[in-house]
Parts: sequence; C-alpha cells; structure tokens
Amino acid sequence: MAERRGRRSVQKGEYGVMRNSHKLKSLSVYILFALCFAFLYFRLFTLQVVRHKELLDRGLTLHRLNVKIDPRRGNIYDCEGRPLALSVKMKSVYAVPDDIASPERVARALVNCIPSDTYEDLLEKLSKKKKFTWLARKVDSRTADRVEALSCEGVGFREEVKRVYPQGTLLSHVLGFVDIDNRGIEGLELYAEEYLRGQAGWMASYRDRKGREIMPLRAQDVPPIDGYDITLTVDIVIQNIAESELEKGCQKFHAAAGSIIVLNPKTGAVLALANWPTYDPNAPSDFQSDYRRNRCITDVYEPGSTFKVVTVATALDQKSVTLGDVFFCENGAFRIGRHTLHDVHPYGNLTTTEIVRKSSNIGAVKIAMQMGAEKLYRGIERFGFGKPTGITLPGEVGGILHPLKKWSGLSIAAIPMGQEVGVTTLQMASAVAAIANGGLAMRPYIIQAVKDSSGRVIASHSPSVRARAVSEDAAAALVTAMEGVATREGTAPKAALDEYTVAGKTGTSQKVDPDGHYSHSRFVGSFVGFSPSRDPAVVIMVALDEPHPIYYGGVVAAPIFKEVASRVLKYFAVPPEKTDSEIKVASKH
Amino acid sequence: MNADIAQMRTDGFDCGYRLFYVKEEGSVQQRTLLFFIIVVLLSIGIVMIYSTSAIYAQERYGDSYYYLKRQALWIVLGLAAFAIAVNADYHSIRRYSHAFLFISIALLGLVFMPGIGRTAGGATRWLWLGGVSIQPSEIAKFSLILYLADVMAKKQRQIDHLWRGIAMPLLLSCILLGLVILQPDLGTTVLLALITVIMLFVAGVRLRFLLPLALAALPALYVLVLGSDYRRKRILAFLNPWADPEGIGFQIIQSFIALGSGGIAGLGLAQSRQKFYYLPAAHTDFIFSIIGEEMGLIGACGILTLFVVLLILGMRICWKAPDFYGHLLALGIVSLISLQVIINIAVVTGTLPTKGLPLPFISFGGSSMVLNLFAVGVLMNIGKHMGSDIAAHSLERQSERIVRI
Repeated sequence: MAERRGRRSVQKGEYGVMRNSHKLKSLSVYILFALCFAFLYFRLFTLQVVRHKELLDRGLTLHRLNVKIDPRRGNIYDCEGRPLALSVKMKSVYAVPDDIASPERVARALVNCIPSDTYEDLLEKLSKKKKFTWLARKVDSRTADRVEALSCEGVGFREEVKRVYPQGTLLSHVLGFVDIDNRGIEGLELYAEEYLRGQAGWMASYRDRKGREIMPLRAQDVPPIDGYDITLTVDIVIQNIAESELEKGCQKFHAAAGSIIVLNPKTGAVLALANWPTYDPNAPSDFQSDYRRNRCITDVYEPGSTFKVVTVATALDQKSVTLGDVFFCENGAFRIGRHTLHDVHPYGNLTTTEIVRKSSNIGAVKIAMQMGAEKLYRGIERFGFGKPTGITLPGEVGGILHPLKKWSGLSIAAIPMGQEVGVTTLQMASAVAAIANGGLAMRPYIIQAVKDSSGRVIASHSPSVRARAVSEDAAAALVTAMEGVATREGTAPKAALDEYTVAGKTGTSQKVDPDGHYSHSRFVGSFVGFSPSRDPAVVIMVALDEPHPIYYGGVVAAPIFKEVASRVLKYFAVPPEKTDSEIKVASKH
Repeated sequence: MNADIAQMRTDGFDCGYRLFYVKEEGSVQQRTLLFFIIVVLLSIGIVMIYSTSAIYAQERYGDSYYYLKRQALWIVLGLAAFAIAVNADYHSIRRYSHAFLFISIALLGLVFMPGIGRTAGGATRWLWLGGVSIQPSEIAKFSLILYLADVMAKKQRQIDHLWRGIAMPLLLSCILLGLVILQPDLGTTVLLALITVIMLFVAGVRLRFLLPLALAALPALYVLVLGSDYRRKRILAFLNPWADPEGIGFQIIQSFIALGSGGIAGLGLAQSRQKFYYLPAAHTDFIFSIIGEEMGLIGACGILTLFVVLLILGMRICWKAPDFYGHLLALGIVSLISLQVIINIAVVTGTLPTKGLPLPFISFGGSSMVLNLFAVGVLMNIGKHMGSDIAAHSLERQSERIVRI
C-alpha cells in the first residue's frame, strides 16, 4: 500500500497532474456525449409520443388507401325473367403517369390497341402530373388482352362493372341508362336507383408512394352488397310486337313521333310501353336527347275525340243520357256564341251510340251540355286526368285539367270533345282501361317485384284499385257503343279484328300552333281500344304525332292497334270469339 | 526497481501510467457485454436492412435479398476484422499509424481519379475496385484516430509547443479533412473535425491553440455550409421542412412521419408504410426512422440505450487503459461511434441538417461496417489489456525500447 502511494507521489511530480487532467477532460467529453444522447431521447419522445397523433394522421393521408368495391348493380328482367339490363364485369385500363418514363413511346404503343383514343389524347393523359388516370374504361376483352400483351410499365387494369342492355333499343325509354360510374340517369335506372345500386363494399389498405396497394398491409375488407334485381310487368314479346308495329306505322304515315302502350286492364300492369323514335341505352350519347324522352308520360297533348269516351261514360254514369237518347247534330254546324262547332261529316239525329261510333263533336257537346259542366268535371277527375298516374317512372306529368271555376263559357263546348285538356297517352290508356275493367280504374304499374341477389323477394306489387271511374252498368253500356267504332259504320273499321271483338275510339286532334290557333296541318292521330270487348285481355293506346298527309286516327293509328292486338291475343292464346264461318260471313259484307 | 521504472518513464514516449494497473475483476464480463451489444445491434441491423430494402431490391434487382446478402457478407468481413483486432495487441497497430494515414490520404486522392472514383448524388465518395465500391472516408476516420492517438501520446512533452508539438498533427489532419470536404462530404468532415478537436483537447493541447483554430475554421464553415446552393437548401429544409414539403423538406418530413407513426409501441415488425418509397435512403442513412416506425419509442430508445451502454463501456475501457496511447485510442473510437450515432439520430429527428452519415452497425454500407467493427475490436483489445499480464508485457516492450535507445 505504502509502495503504491509512493509510486503515485513520484508520478504526481512528473505526470500525475496530467493524468488526472486527461481523465477529467475525457470525462467532460463523455458527459457532453451523454447530454447529446439525453437530448436525443427527448427528441424521440417529442416525435413519437407528443406528436404521435399529428404525424400518424399526416402519414395516413399519404398511406391510406380506401378502395371502394363497386356492388353489382341489380339486373332488370321482364315478366318472364328475360334480361333487359345486366351488369357485366369488364376491365378498365389506367395509367400511373409518374411511373412512365417516356409517355410518347407508351402512347404510340397504346394507340394501336385502344381504338377510342387518338395518339394526342393518350399522350395528354400520360403526361399529366398525376398518380392515376383512366385511359379507357370498360373495354372489351380483346382490347384488354392486347393492352395486357404490351405490358407497359405504369399501365394497369382494374375490374369495373359495366351496364349492358342485351335487348338493345327494346324498352329503352322505360329502362333508361346509367353514366360511366353506373349511376342511373334516366328511366327505371334513375327511378329505382336506390334498389338497383346496392351498397358499395370497401377495402381499407395502404398504398406505396406510387399509389399501388401494399397487399400485406391490407387491414379490412368489407364485401359489397349487390343491388336488387327488378322484375317488370313488361313482356318482351309484346314489347317487341308493339315497337315493330309502331315503327312500321310511324314510317308509313311519316309521323314525327309515336307512342304505344299496352295495358292489362284488369290489373293495370303495363305489358308494353314504347315510343318512336327510340335510342340504344348502351350508347345513349349517340342519340338526340328528344329520342330519349319517354313521350308516353312526359308529353301532353290534346286528346281530341278519344276523350269523348270520358264524356259519354260520365253522362251514362250520371244517368243524364242513355244509349238510345237521340241528339240533333245540327247538320254539321252548331253555333255556340260567336263560335261554330263543326262535324267532319254532317249528321242529323244521332243516338248516343251513334255519336260515339261516328265521333260527332256536336253530339258529344250536346250530351255534355245536357249533363252540365260540374258533373263532367267530376267525371274527368274520377278518370284520373289532371294528375300523374303514379307509375314508377321518372318525369311523369299530370297533364292539364283546368279547375271548374276557370272554365269559360266555351269550355263546355271544347272539353267534351277533348280540347282545352292536356293528357298523356298513359292517362288516356289508363282511363279506357277503367272502362274495359267495368268502370274500376286500376293504378298502372310496371315493377312486378324486387328481389335480392339470392332471389328473395324484397317487395312485390299487387294490383290496386285507384278509383271507381264509372258504374259497371255505365261501363258496359259504353263498351256496347264503342264496339261500333271498329265497324264499317264507325270511324275505325281498320281496327276490327278477324277473330275477336273490339271496342275502341279514334282521335284526331289538331295541335296548337305557336300563335295559339289550332293548326290545320299538324295533328295527332290516335286510337285507343281493347279486345275482346266483353272480356278484355289488353288495352292498347296508339298515338302518332304529326302524321302526314293522312292524319285521321282511324286510318293511321287503328291499323297499328289491329296488328298489335291480333298478335298479342294470339300470343296470349285467347280463344277466338268468332268461328271461321262467322269470319267468312263478316268478310263477305 | 520502483525508481528504475520511474526513471524509465521519464524517457518514456507515452504517459506511462499503464504500469500502475489495477486488475479489473469485471473486465471479462464487460467485454462480453460489449460484444453482446454489438451482436444485438448487428442483428437488428440485418433484420431492418431486409425489412427496409426488400421491396426496393425486388423491384430494382429482382432479388429481395440483394442488400441483405451484401450486408451479411460485409458483416462477416467486419467480424473477421473485429476478431483480428481483438486478438492482436493494439500496440502492434501503432507501428502502422503513419502508414494508415498516408494510405488514407492516397485513397482519398484516388477518389478524384476518373475511372476509379465513383460519383453518386453529386458527391464523389467511392472507389470502384473490381466489383466492390469502398468508401475511403471510412478508412480515413479510423486512420485519423490511430494517428492522433499515436502522435499525441508521443508528443506529450512538447504538447505546449506549437511547432515541435502540434503543428504536424494539425497539418496532416487538415489535409485529410480537406480531401474529404472536396468530395464533398460535409458530414464526415464535421465528424473528423470534432474527433480531432476532442483528441487534441484531451491530449492536453492548450485552448489558446485550439480556440484560434476553431475561430479560423468558422469562415470556412460558413462558406461550406451556406456557400453552395444544395447545402443552403439543406440547412433551410432543416430549419423549416414544412416550407417545401414536396421538395427539399421531403426527406425530413417523411422521417418525422415514420418516427411519429411508430408511437410508443410501433406499428410492428415489417409493418412500416414509410419504407414503401416514401422515405428516401430508408435502408442507409434513415434506417433509424423505419426502426422507430416499426418498433416505436421502445425500439428506438432501446437501440439508443444500447449505444449509451456502449459509450459507458467504452468510457470505462478508456479510463482503465493501461497507457495514455490506449486512453486516447479508446477515446477516439468511442467518440467515432458515439458521434456517428448522435449525428445520425439527430438528423433523422430533425435536430441537425441532413448529413450523409450512417448509423454504425445498422445502416447498409460495407466500408463503414468493416471499419466500425474493426474499431470496436481495437477498443475491446484495449479493454483486454486491463489485465495484470499487460504490465509485464508493456514493461517488456518498454525495456526493449530502452535497449534500442
């Protein structure tokens, strides 16, 4: 011990002080390091604990990738389950422009595969300063295969659901169409959007800096709920018949447009509903917007003589006339105030039946005048005019029915023959369907059932009575009168069917010119009727807009009725009412 | 005999207190602990290199193990260097101190030779030698320590004398620094300067020499830090990274997000999101950010603590070194490791401007790995010589020298 102390003292003299100062100095260095380390602990604590939430959120805005998984949009079927609108999985091509070194080269390669885009379009998309851009959406499998074969860096595929309408233009106005993101734009696609759309699924995941999903980090995966399928009351066979006959008729009589509706009068179910001109919902933008309009429910016209059935039915219902009552038809010219009412052909005395059969304006006005304006107004209301029918299609209008107190002195001479009122073809069809159904007005409907993807019924429509339009007796009486229309004595012999009885009414209404006067060149020729007349299977309403040079409803619209009715009744296998011999006898006359 | 020894020391070329060695009971355990820490750090490093580089390697080289394989190879080489250093007496390297220094200077000069030097990211820092690239500045770090420890121990008696004492070491250090700064590699330059100052200071160089030197360096530092556009931008980014989050502040913001996302417990191993191309240099200089993201504050502080324990063990070895040369050498090595750790983590936490310095034992990089392991090997060897046998051994060497004189 003493020895060591001695050594130290020796050292102190020469090196001892130095040694301690060395140690002190290096100690100060180490303390400095330790302080630095302490500060680093503090920094880490600040960043990882104090600012954890803020920085995590900041990171998540970069990293989070919430991918929406599109649900399958519900399909639309006809009453027999034949597809009218389907959702098909297709590939879409996208690009990550940041990953593309030479947009020119990629654009040149792609332009041969994607026919819809020009080289300039592609180059512009590829040169964007973006992490994602669509190049071509919902391409066919051949295009997809060709693009895939190029295996360009920065070009990828994503599966998307495309809406297709396998029947093309068939029923296009009812079905409507969707936009590129499968949102309903028109027709049922729009009206039943809630049912059809379904519920999107989603996937919570993370993306790398180039925007691609980091698969191993996928956190959550919620499958989508597919949209509900819709079954319509429409039968595509009947729809096909209606559309082809309408088109033929419109072209034959050079009509600007035409509409046809086929209803089941007992239920109100719409069996067919078509307009001409039409469009293809697979490519709606290729057609003018007025081609896409569902004229049956959106267009209002003055019904003209077809409206006389409403007048006469109401008068019969109010018992103010009977079928046998005789009215003097003023030999074709009836002065009311300063106006003179004309018939197409001058008549003397006509019974109520004959007024319907010959479509006498003067007779109809006299029946109405005998009944009085108020009863007429209530009757028109009971038939559902002035209000939308409530069919589940978008854009339906209620037509025009002026309230009673706004009627002028001349209204009683105009309304009974279908002037001063505005109706839609669907309202007219529905009104006549009420007569066909013994006076009971059924609410027209087009959606039969809504089912989920497993086939379970979510909602279904059962026929519902809207109102009693007229009494059963009045309806039956009017049917008798209407049966005379489709005969040689009536206005529409061309509506007569060989094997079945027909009840109907023609209409030829003048359109209103821009100056407010009735046109002498622009008409709506229409026919509404049902068959077989005593036990009707179908009500058919046909209206042609501006046919020329022939425009009489009995000439332009009645043949369409006839063709459609005979084909539909055969399709329904309704037993013929007239035997072959009866037909022969009838044709001899 | 005591007197003799004392007499010998007066002629001695180093401090000589190594003769008064007190046997350290815990020295073996301490060295085991030191080795254990290195192994843990290497293991974390290799796991994190794979975690951070796999995706990038897969995309760039079609082999997700590309960086892992290379790093493993460098670790093996490094451990071989470590084994040699541990088992060879650290005094034996001393003879090559000057040689090391001049080789370093030569290699640093070669970097600027076209065909051999490799430039990346605006800096010429690598030598391309038949398939492997080495970073001479890593060798320079160690040579400088070796040289300064040797020369400052030798010149203890002339320490107060400017010309005979410290002029030469200063000049050589400055040449080394100058070559590194030309690359340019400001981070390594600052590191080398700090190590030089620390070693000179502890060696006993008067503050009246050191302070003017530091003052003289200030204008140079100003020019270097703010002189070039790229450096000025880095400084500006450091001061306010959010000013240009998509440009110059990008890397540091991404580092913040990585560390901050980790929170206390981390997102879990391999769960980092920032490594998916958001954070540049995720497997090299910014690997600590990803560690913080995946392992949280616990992991980050754990690693920091391993380095702190390394510092403490190094400090003890330094204090108990058998001679002043060993003391200085240990100090230099501990400073080298600690300063690199401090600067690296300060950079990733936004405390210092971005410098290209790797995290020892963890970041990807061959030269750094081999040299750091070698340096720790030397440190452990110094620790080994705390045993009593060293006294005799040193005595023997001392007498040899005396005889030679």
